[in-house]
Amino acid sequence: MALFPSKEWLEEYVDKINSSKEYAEAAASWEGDIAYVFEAEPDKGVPEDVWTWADLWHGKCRDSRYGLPAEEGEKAAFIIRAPYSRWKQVINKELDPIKGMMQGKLKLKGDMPTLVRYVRAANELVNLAGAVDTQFVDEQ
Amino acid sequence: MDPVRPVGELDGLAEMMAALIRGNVEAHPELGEVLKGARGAVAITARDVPATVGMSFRDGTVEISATSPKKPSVVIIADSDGLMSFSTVPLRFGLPDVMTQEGRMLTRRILKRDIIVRGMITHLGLVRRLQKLLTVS
Repeated sequence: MALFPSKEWLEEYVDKINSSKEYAEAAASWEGDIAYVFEAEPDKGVPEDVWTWADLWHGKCRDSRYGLPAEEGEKAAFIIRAPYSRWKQVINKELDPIKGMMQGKLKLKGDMPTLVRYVRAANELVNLAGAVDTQFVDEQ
Repeated sequence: MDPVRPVGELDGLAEMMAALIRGNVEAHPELGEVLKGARGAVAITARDVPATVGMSFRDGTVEISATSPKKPSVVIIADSDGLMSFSTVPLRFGLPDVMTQEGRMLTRRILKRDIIVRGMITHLGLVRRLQKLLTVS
């Protein structure tokens, strides 16, 4: 079981992405890196913002980084940020990411038409996050 | 000049719609002409969010707010996934292309009133322009 958020969790997530036929198909022409920001919630065991980065290319994740500096993460084509507990809801499939964006619970920076065009791939990324055997840092 | 003018504080849905139109017009400058021809007010509600975005088109710009205009010519009410399908459906003559599976599915949802589009007949021109501005396919 991988602790969320952690480097081990990200590595398991990347493995899920790279072995998913559904994602490979939905994101076959996707080109662009994404930074996920798990915003600090000190009372829940996340004392500071955690930046992670995934280089997504044609249905695969070519590279990833955990805990990179914000100034590097800011260079990603897409940045999705939310407090830790919102991400927990997304991973537990209690919050649909598109609905979450419409509610302002998840904030996106990047080209919106591209994201909407690949909405099926985005949903698949969330499904894969939910497939990682996860222990949440506030439930240890 | 940015053709999208936020009015007041935007919520998530209004920000998404503003970013969608802005991104589409930037990527496809010909949509500037579509925007210039659009006149009237539109209200779009995502009932499962719940949130409503108001759009007022005039003089080649669109004012976007997090509330419905007073007397919208066109009203669209759908769940969030229905609104997404509006943006991803292939178009023919500015309307969902019923020759495609996605177009048929969307049309079926409109006929079943799962997705409500008021003003589609009386303001067809505005609906077609709106559809072009919101579509990414």
